[in-house]
Amino acid sequence: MIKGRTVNLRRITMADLPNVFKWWQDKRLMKYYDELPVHTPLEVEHILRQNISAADRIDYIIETKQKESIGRIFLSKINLEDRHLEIHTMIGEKNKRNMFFGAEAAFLMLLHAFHQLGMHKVYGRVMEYAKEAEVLQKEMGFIKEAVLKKQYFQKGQYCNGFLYGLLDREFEALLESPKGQKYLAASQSRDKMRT
Amino acid sequence: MLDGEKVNLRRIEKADLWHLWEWHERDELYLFKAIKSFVSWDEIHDNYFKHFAWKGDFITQDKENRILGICSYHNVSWKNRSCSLSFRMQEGYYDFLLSVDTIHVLASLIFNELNLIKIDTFAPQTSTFDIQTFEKAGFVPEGVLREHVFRDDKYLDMHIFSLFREDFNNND
Repeated sequence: MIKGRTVNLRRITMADLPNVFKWWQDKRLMKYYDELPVHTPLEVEHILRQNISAADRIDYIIETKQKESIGRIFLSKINLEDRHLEIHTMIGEKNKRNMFFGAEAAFLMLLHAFHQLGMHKVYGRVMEYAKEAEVLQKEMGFIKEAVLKKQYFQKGQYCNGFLYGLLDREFEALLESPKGQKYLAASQSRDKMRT
Repeated sequence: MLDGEKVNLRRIEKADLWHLWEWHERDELYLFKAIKSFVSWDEIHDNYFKHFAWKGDFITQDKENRILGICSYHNVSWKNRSCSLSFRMQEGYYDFLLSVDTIHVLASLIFNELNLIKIDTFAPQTSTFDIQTFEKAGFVPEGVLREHVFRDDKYLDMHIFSLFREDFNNND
């Protein structure tokens, strides 16, 4: 488990199926993700099993300190030769959708990707209307690298996507900055409390 | 068989494997990325259906049936009606007439038969022949992925290009 100040990240299990299924049914949430509508728990179970056993992907559940599951965060397309991967964050619970939980979960995941998995680069894709996701990427120091024209078909029309990238040295610079120090202190204070 | 002005595209057959394996040994053939480097002949031969069952992989040949290279469409998203495209010409066939015609034939299949609307493609900064081929074939740059691939002891930028059906058919 990866522990932070307000959230923990733990590996997803099949016991999380009810929550994942519930979040997947939320149309307002899913319009921000390039997924086909999924209607049955069996289909979601099949996808979850595939994800758990995939060699190039790691899925985590974001939970509060009270162990309430509030969303998912996962690393996909893990490329060990080029040392890059894609990050996805999803806060499923409506009343927890604010910058606070998402930002700390993303920071903890980046810390894990760069300092534990030894990645050179982390990138993420967002739809152009996903303003909060874009703010989150910028908050973590990501830089816009590409505008993917008419990339996603959602609600009967095509929309652009943005691709953001963060290099390891840029993440280290973030850690040196006052903002990064704040995030880092929060995660480290958690470690001290644990020991 | 897909016919172009200068080239034809045909599916990869077992008889092509020795030629492809020799080429793979000589250069780094990125369409075989899934197979990784230093694959043995036995491995590639025994796993033909695993590695070459995808109907989107093609041999590019000239009108005299000489193998010029390979090309492929993959990552098809039926929801977004898009896919990715790759190609590689053998050394000695770095000719824009051949490479652009290869792209043109494959794009015709993708747009006019598979009914997709967007093709995207990637090329490392050092592959100037690939980049120029995409530009000559009408692809438009969408961005540069910084330090995205590791080749020869350094990280290289990756250029992204795209081509839309309306632009392809208007220029056809």
